[in-house]
Amino acid sequence: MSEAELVFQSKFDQEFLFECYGVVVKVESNARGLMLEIQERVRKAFLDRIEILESSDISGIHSFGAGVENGVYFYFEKGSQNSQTGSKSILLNFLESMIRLTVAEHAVSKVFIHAGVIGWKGKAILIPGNSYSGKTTLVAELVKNGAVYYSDEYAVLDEHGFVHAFARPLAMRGIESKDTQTDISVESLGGVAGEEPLRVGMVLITKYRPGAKWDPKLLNPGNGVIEMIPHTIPIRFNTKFALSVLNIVASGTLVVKSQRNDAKKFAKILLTFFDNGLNCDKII
Amino acid sequence: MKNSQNPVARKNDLVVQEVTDEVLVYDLSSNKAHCLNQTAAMVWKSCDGTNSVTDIARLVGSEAGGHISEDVVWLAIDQLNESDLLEQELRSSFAGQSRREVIKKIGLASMIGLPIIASLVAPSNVLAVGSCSCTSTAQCASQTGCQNLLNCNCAGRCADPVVCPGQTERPTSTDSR
Repeated sequence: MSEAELVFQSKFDQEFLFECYGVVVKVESNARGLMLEIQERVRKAFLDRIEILESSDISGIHSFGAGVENGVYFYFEKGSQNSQTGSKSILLNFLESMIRLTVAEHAVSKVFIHAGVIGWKGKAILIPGNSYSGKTTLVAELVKNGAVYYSDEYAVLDEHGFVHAFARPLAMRGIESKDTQTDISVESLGGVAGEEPLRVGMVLITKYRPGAKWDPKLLNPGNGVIEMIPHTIPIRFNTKFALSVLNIVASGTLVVKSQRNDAKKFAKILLTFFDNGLNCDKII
Repeated sequence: MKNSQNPVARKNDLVVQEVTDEVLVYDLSSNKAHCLNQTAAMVWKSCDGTNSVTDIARLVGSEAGGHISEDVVWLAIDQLNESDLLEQELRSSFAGQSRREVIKKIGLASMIGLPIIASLVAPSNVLAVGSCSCTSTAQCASQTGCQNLLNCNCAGRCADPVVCPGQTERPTSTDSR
């Protein structure tokens, strides 16, 4: 029988129930050691902003499961076996990602955008982007140039369009290997993490391309929202609220689009551009 | 009075947001987002089933402070049709002409900006906002945003399983999507 066809036989006897950003999550397991590791991961992922709950008699719970049997690790979602792997770290990474995305999608009164965020001169600069788009590298370089660190993963926006800090350690790739993420503290980069919510001063839509020239184009608000939608996690679940927050952000600030070159050089260009009043002569 | 030949703006399953000089429309049934520029938005708002194309040209023209041709309205309707923002599809009057030819014809003569609708499909679910550059199932599963431990794409998305380099068969998935 191939690994893909295995069926988990054990019963879950460990439970971890918590609330985070108004989202209730339950994780079950059949192994105490595995559960302790999951709890540690979740606390770290949400910067200890979780509240442990006692009763599972709550509606709207998002449930996950992680089991181990004969050296095979099983992943469960909504009570059903979803997939399996021979590697504990793969399971833990995946489970953590799924929990993070679930909280980000269902968060109450907040809109999570997949983005790097820094504070500069009292305003936030948002850099939406997918994994592997170079967000963390660019954020790290901006921090080295004096920017305040807010997040390398999520821009957490409230209903007024203010961005809240989600300042987990920066998850840098390329230190151990191309794909492995290594946690780097903002202090080790010589920076500090922000605490106060900030109004957004600029949204930068950018992609790294070797040798690319900085050629900023100003997007009108509607196109700015359109560019942010693919990175907006609750866009399907809470469309109206998400759109209204995106609208506030795009209407109250400038959305700029350009390709960028190497993060080290580009960080200085970006901050100078911001300091000079975001001068763009092209509007699209 | 409503006339079946008159365009009617779709209302159901849409979230509409007014943005400065533009209108954003999110279609909940298809999860498509549309950004209507001012001209396209004015035409769309005038599509109430009682206004003919001639009426809409007059209304939009007076709102914009000048004359606009019916071709401009048809150009907007053409795009509204494509974006599924009308109750019923209306046959364009540009028989045999490409949109480019029509734009060329009316472009310089138009008093107002040509109607433009920019559209995109929102990610298929929360997981699609992540992306990957995987070359193996293990890599795919170890990063954020991948749908399934066994569901590796190796082409930048995790949603549609295919055979990755180094694998002999397509990875299976218990996800029914």
